[in-house]
Amino acid sequence: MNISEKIVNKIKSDNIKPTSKWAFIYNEWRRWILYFLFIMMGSISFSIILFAISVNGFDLLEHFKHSTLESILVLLPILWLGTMIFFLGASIMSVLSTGRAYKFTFGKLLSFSTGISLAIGTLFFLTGGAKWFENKFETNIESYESLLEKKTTIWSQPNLGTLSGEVVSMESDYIVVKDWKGKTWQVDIKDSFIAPSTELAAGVLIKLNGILQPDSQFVADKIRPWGGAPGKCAK
Amino acid sequence: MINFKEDWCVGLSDQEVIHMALENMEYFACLILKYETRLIHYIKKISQCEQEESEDILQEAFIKIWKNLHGYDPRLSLESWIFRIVHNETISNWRKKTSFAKDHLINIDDERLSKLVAYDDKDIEESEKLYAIIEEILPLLKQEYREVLVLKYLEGKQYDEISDILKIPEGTVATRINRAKKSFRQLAEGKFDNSIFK
Repeated sequence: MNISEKIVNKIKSDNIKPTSKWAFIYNEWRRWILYFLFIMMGSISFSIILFAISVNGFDLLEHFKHSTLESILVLLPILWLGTMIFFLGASIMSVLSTGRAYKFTFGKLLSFSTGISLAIGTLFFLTGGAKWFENKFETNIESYESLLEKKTTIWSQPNLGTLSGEVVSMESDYIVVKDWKGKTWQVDIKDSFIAPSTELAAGVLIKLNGILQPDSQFVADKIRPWGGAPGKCAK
Repeated sequence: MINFKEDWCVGLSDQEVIHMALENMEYFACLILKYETRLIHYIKKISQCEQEESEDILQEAFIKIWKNLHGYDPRLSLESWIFRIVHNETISNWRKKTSFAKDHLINIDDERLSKLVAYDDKDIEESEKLYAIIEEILPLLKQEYREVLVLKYLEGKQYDEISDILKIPEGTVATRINRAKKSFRQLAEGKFDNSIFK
């Protein structure tokens, strides 16, 4: 018996059937759907990172006494950075097993997937999706530290040059600010840059960069509006 | 009981054979008949298998081809797809063995192998010494180097076909072939008279 007869006999005697074409179609679609799902999750993560940057502002970096890298890590939402990297990796793993993905190098697939994620993420951020999503997280997940909470923490470190809270009263050379924990500070504003959008008046929420002085005093370099409601810890 | 007759295959393209085989599986024998000799040859070249073992590998590979017939992507040449499955089956079989590379020699009898040691595919005068080198060196190469050299120089495959068979980008195929040739030469130059490469 020749090889072809042996093989055909084996297939017939064992009653081996070809796998249904729907199984292959299903598998291919499943991989692509997973790919786009992971890309979307990565995009959402990226949009929240953009939102975090917009909330905190990177000009804080120059006032931090830590290293730049450490400051960036403090400012960036590590959770969302981690999820973005995870979902990007997962998307590439999904697409790698699709039919013709082997034609592209890993670098090309990574660049392409990252590009799509960043583009969709930016769009999501610009249309307010990131803020909405972040609010949902804050509302529904008790243990989640929202970006606003983080912002409150970052802007409540007088020893590192940040202070925030409500303007209580104003004099010509200084203002009195009550921070989120209720402590009052006398803030020297003689040589401060006051952002044009800041309306200094009692009851206004502000954030300041400057230098801590003894006896609850603070010399402000820059004064800007708080720009958004404080997080849970400020209530 | 098989009713298959070889003249069923006359004039049928690969695509038509697949179509017919899905109606009557005995037409699948046409594919086996068309490729079996080359595939057995290929299995022997990338492994140390003897005829009987190579036939067993081929049988397992063709059963997989049969099972996955609906998964064949027509954008790929059927030959490359079949080679891919046979290649994977051979490697899978080979990995079950532990000390293949050091203990066995590959049966080399293809004159195209002479190109292996040439830079830029330049022809080199054939000699028994050269074949001795090839037989001794090829099995010592890493598996990923050996398989690209066999596909390129023994099977005469183009880069895009090797890419389809090994499921790696064409750029990687080119890089791997260059590294394989360099590795081959380094091993050979360390063992044999350098004049053979000049």
